[in-house]
Amino acid sequence: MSALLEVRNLGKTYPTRRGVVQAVSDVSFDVEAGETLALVGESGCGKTTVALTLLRLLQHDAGEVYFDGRNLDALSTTDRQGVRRNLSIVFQNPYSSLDPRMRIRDIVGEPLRTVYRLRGHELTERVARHLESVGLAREHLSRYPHEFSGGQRQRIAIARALALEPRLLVLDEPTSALDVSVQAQVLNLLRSLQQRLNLSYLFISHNLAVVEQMADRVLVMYLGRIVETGPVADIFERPAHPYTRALLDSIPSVDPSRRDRLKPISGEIPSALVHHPGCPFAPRCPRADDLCRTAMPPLDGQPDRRRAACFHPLTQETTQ
Amino acid sequence: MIRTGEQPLLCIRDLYVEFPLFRRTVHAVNGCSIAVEPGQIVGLVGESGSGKSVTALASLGLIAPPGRVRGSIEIDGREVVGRPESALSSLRGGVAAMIFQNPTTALNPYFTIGRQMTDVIRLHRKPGTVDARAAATRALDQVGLPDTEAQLHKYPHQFSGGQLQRVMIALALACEPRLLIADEPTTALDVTVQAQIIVLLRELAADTGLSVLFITHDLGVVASLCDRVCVMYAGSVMEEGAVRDMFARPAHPYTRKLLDTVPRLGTGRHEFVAIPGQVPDLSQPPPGCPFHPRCDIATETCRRQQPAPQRIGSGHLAACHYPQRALRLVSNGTRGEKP
Repeated sequence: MSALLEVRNLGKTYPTRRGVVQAVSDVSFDVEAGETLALVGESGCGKTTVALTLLRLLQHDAGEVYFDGRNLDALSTTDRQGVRRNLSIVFQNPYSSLDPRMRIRDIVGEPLRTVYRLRGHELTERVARHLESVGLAREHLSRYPHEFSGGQRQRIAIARALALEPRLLVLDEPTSALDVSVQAQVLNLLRSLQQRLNLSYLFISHNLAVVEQMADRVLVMYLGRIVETGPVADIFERPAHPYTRALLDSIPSVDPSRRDRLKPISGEIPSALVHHPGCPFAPRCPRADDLCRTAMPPLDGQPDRRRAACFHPLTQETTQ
Repeated sequence: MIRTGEQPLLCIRDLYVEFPLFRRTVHAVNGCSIAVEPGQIVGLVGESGSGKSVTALASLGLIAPPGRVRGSIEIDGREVVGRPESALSSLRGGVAAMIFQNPTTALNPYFTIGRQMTDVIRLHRKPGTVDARAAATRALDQVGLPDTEAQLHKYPHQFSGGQLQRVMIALALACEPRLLIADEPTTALDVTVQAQIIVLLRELAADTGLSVLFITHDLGVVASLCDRVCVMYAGSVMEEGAVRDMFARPAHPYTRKLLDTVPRLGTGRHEFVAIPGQVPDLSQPPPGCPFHPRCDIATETCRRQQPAPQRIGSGHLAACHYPQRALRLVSNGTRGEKP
């Protein structure tokens, strides 16, 4: 059986005045029904670009995307729109993703109006049901976004994303703009919605502790490439790629007695405009040798297994 | 670096900040007291709207009318509240400097980094006593930027976010201040860059005796960086103490809950712990303890009477009527991480 979402050799470049930026290169992954795949990496690593290409909010320039076994690019516009309804997104900042001049009924109801042409009572009932499923009430229908707190706004954004009953939801840093006390409520809601509706999540986050709790599998990206992928518990316990190790060592622990374990990586992410032949992480990697600087390590192995694109992995459990 | 002995470099006592609006007044800070001793890094934590940034702005006299400030703020023994603007400008950037969350909006996009840095240095140092350009290069070198001479000719947009925050720190340090007030300086940055900044600030405090008031909502950053911590809620300090004591034995129910909400690596799958309810509306603060509507152990006394800070241990204070009860409560979050 094929996965719900299959991404094969996805690539995206941006032409700029100073040259071509390779934002995403050769990214392949699957998302199964009911599964959460996390996409982690620093800003500029291409995780949001991947998400936006899946939703066709950006056009990729290499590779294929299959949803339910159907190649999105090979479909007619009408068919593609039909498939596209199964994909939706929740953005990071609920203060900018909700139109301040629209009432909640119109925000959550807009997709239902345009796609199913629902109107009047039927529309109101459907919107009210979606609001209830995210823990809001019917009385909120005629209110405006500014009357809600950050956590409630994110619930509204989730209700809007679920309006067309999608099967896969892209969550682009859904709780980074919220306080920790509120973040927990939204994450618990996302988890219960997933169980109830058998949703698949593509969860983009830079908070690795949240990723560990939410995701089944994780994809670590660096400079537009996948450097490591596999089950989240395995990877966080025993990372194979030095970059994954470095990311984990950069998280400040809440335990003051562990403060000496904080180990920053030296150097900065190199410019995406300059193309090096070797491993993109080699300039910052403590294990890099001449091979790393001249050849690109491949991400070999079965898509459903643990893989790391490294010539000198920290553990030998990958199927290199 | 001259140390003034026991006298704190920053001493905030009984600070109140209010903002009158059309029909109501927002009481952003309600009787907050904080001290930062020389060479110390003090964390100021709280959720959005807890008054932590307003406290920081007030410390440098940056609350503009119609905002009202009452109480006392002393920097190096000099009172800030009520001081005329002309006298404040020698304090700002000289003895005390501030860095903000977003370095891209704090720097002027039209001028090179070198111009912006030398302007500040020339303003605060007597003319001719110091080579401004050399001082700027030295400051950039101190924060670990490579190739400092070349950096001076660059414009802000030519730096990455992490580099720019280091430029901001260099700019703040260029006049050798003794106090740095940092308002969420790493919140907009990647964890990898955040880790670099944490280590940098730790080194600066250890090597030069710099005092830091570090405002953040991230308890992990506090645990990794600060010596002491003040937890703010609804404009008041709920608890303060040494980071090691307080994180091990939080005496205020709010601190305990806040620590429970932080997701930790290596703890296995469990429910995320939330604090039910919301931060109170500061134009209508609740009577009594500001946390009582969200507190599990609140009693009639908590609803009526605002608790005064009580001594829990050495340098450890909690503004709670029942700190002993909070200490005994078993935390429902999973404490501790796997090695």
